[in-house]
Amino acid sequence: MEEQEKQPEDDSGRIGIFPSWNALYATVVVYTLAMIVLLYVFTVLLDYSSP
Amino acid sequence: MSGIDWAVFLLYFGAVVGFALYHSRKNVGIEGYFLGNRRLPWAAIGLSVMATQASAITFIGTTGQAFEDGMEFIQVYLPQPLVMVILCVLFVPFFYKAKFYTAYEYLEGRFDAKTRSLTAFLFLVSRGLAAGIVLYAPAIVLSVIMGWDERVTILIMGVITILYTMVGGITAVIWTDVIQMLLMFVGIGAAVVILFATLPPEVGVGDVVYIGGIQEMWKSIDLSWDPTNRYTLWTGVIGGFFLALAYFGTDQSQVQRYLTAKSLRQSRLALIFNAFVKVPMQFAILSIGVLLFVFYHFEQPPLIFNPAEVAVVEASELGAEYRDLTAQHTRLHGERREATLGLLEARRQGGELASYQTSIQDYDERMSELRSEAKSLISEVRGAVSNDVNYVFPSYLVKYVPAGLLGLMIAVIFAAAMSSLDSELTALSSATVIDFYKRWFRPKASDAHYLLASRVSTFFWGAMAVVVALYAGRLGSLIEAVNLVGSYFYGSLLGVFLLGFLVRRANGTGAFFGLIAGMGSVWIVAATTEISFLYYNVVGAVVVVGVGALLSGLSGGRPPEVV
Repeated sequence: MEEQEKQPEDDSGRIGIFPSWNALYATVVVYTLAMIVLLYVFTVLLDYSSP
Repeated sequence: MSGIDWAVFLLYFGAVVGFALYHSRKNVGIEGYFLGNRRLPWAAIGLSVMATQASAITFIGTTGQAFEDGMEFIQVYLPQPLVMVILCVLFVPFFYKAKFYTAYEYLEGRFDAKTRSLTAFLFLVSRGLAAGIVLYAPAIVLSVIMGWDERVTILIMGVITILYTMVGGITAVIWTDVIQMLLMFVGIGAAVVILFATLPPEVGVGDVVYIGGIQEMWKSIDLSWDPTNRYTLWTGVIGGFFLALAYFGTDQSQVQRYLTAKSLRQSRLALIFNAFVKVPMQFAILSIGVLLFVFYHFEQPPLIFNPAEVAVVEASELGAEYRDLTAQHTRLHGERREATLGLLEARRQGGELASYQTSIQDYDERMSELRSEAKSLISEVRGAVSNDVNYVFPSYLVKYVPAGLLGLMIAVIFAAAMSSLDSELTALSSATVIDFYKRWFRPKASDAHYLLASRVSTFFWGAMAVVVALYAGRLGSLIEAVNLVGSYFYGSLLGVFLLGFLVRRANGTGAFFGLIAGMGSVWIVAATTEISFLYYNVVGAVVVVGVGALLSGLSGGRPPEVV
């Protein structure tokens, strides 16, 4: 019974500001790619090794 | 340490024990002991997942690594957010909905008892010995830096962790992990602030970034394709992906955490929390190492940070040679300091920078070479590779951190060790009782009997960890062998789970022999190639799935009624 009550919470509905789990997962993927790009930019911009 | 440091330190232990006892009072029965009656909130689980992964050596070792090599280690962590998504979609629903206690239970339902028992056995052997290293590694560092008896450090950390884990089970572990992880966050922030505060007053944030950049210390992404280098984007993303998937998806010390959630949704949220926080946290930890690198442009760094190694080499026949290296190092530091201050002044005046940069790079390189030579001398005298990187950050703490904050930072190191050890103990205990004792010896005993067996098992593994830690110095190459063997089968374990999730017709014969083939192939690759160990996980997982699928097909596949 308890499990049946939890099921709707697990599989549907909003997750905070995200409309669905898929939207949240997509955000994580974009976040990961953005971090890689950001770190690459960071690597290039903060390289002062060439006089 | 001063009186205020001891007060902070004792406050930490009091808070941990008090918190553990308070949160464990409602635990009844084996489900309460191992799964917290599946009532824990996602935020606590998320912090516990993070605290379990972050051991003391992660905290002090990676800062030392960044001091020597810069930020490139961050690349190993980059695939972790994607791993969390895959866990949420593929792994967690299987584990959670079946109401398992351990990850390995899944393998009996999906394949057979021998596959479950073999994987659980591999987990027990590797993690049982690794738990000792979790205690030993920070104890040896603190004994050298603080002058504390390493046996006392091991016993204090070990006994307190065993007691609260035995009494409170997973609930106590997760809630203490919460305060330990929050303490680590405070420690990371405090370390950054302290480092800036101990720099000369005229050195600003921009100067720190600039000095680090001269030696490419901020380089976080390396796009080269060298598979023998573990610090490239490709090695990090491919090898790190399989390593993280194996660790978070099949290691009971992590799986057990997300099985304690109130709901599947809460399990997933705990992992997604990690997806967003883990990489920035690791970035902050590594930044401490780069800040240390910059800091030691203004303060005299020791040639070797581990005073025990210095004492040994100075007392040996190579002592004169070592002292000569130290004198050269001191002289070069003085000249580099002048060049660095000159560079900063030229920046402020808008003057010419190139000659200063070139000289600083030259000094950095020569000082690094002297450090390598000193390490070689130590290796020659001791007959073992120097692990000086682990001493860089603790050495700084003891010398430069003010009273009160030193106690906080030492408490952070203890918290990192204890939050990993307590998770190992509950995981080892659950695999012992559920996958072996209940499965093979006493399948029909009462809940009270299993609870007692679980506490005894927790005590056994805790005592084992303490004994291994106490004798780790004498075990030497055995410890290295255990760590090496662990890296050999991690990817193969992942392969068995992927075979179960993804190949519908795979059967027990395919899984069992696929697992053995996976471990064997990793062994061959390790012995015959120079590729980074991170790729072992890829090889193991791919071979298990390939061989497992093939053997399953040849042996008739899985009966259609259970597919």
